[in-house]
Amino acid sequence: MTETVSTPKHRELSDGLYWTQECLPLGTLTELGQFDLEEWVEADEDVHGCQNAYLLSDERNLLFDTLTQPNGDDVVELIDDLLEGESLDYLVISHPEANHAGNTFTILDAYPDATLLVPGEAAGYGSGHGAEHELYHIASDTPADVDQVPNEIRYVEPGETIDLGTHTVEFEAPLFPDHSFTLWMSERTTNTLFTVDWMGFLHQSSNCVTLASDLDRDVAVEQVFRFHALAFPWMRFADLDAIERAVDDVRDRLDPDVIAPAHGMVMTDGLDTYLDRFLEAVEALSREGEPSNMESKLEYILRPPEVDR
Amino acid sequence: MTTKLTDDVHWISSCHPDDEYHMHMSEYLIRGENGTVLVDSGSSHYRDEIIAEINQLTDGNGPDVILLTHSTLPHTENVPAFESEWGEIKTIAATGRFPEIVGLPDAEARQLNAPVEFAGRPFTCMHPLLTDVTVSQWVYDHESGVLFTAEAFGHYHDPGNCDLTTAEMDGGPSADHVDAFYLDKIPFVDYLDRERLGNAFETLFDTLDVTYVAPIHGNPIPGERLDRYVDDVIEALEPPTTA
Repeated sequence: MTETVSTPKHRELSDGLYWTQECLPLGTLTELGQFDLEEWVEADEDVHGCQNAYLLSDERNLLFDTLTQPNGDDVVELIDDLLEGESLDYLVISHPEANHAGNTFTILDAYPDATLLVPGEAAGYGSGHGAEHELYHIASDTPADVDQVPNEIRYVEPGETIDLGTHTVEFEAPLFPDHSFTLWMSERTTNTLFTVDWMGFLHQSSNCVTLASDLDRDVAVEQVFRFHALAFPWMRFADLDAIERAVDDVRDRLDPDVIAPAHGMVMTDGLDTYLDRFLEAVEALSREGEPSNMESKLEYILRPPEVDR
Repeated sequence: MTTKLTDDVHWISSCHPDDEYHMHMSEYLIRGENGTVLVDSGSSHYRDEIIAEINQLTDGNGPDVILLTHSTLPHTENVPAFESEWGEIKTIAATGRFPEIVGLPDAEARQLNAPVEFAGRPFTCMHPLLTDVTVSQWVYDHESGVLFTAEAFGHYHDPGNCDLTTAEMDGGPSADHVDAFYLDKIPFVDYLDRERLGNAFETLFDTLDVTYVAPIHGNPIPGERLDRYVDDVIEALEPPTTA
């Protein structure tokens, strides 16, 4: 198996809203023998993880997240193509993790007039010690002196909006963040909710950059479970009632027509079904955190070297 | 500054000040049979002082292995500078696949859940029981009994307590400092079943003979203080009622 990040693919979701995706081949069923995948993968199929970024092309143009550093030049080339010579006005970073923000300064270098918008408040209860740029570096190519970067860099908060022309985006407090500086985003015209790390799932190599409703087979709970086990390991210790209340908040208050995650396929139809699958997945995940399971797992993990040898 | 935790584990710490309290940005240097292992590379903000401390500890040779607890900044960002300073260093990323996507194209992927030798010394890396991002790992040094953690087991501290273990702090770390750290750094406290997490911590420390828990963002905690400290952590994870 070649472990190489694919070059970005893309598709237009609606007028001026582009979805770009790079895939991470994780192996075939044989190679991933420890997973229970028969339900959704054929024996010779590669399983993919993925990263998504979203571009809004309008009177003003905005990119949400950057894909990863191996694709830095390709990302800039793709943005150039999609914007047809226009400039990028805003680069939004959902959170300062390399797989979301790795190309930040490559993109800013290509678009010196673009404004960088980054989460300015911690996603949880605290104010977030160390929010200033000396510690809050965004990518591994962050210049030593961020003050010398010509681009404007601005912190944004939940509730702030940006009018792009036809489209308007609003920053949302994330309901399921991992990093303490995280923002979700919504777009009003299409009623799209960009959920960053939440609601991702692994996919088959035949299904890259395909709408969830157009996949060549249904999304299995195991796909959703496997992704969230990787992205949110704390869900082993989840309070399921609290999780369900948050999902209800998504359904009732945010009520999106489209869910656009950073690590899965864009969902445009039957959103309740996918949300239900997430709840099933997190219930299964929480069983892993039961004391008897944790006991055997930790005894296995922490066995002394003599036993291993 | 550097503090000797055990015969062969050295705690290198820098403190990032805020209006009210400090936060540690720590690294740990371990002397193995066949070289040295550095846990985390620290923030570029403190690069010069970290390099000076490591030079002193290694007679100017630098570490042989860098073992990262997180594959995010600021834990990783000095790796390229260290290689410029001391030459190529075997670096283990806190990710199982594709170290290039976390900005570490020359690093090796982690191996979890079985002892692995670095510098002639066995370590076991595991997925943390509590962390923020998934690209993170805890590391247990079987010879010293030190468990290196991030982000869990971090806490803020008062100026003046920067180079103390929690046993040396008057009254130990304050519950407020533990509380504030978790509410800042763990944004999903609302969804945690604290009893189940507490049971997992208890099982961990029943299974493992820990001399110190050595966090990246806090004072090291001696094994005999862990029961009380875990109680403080579980208490800190209670979401504020007035939020």
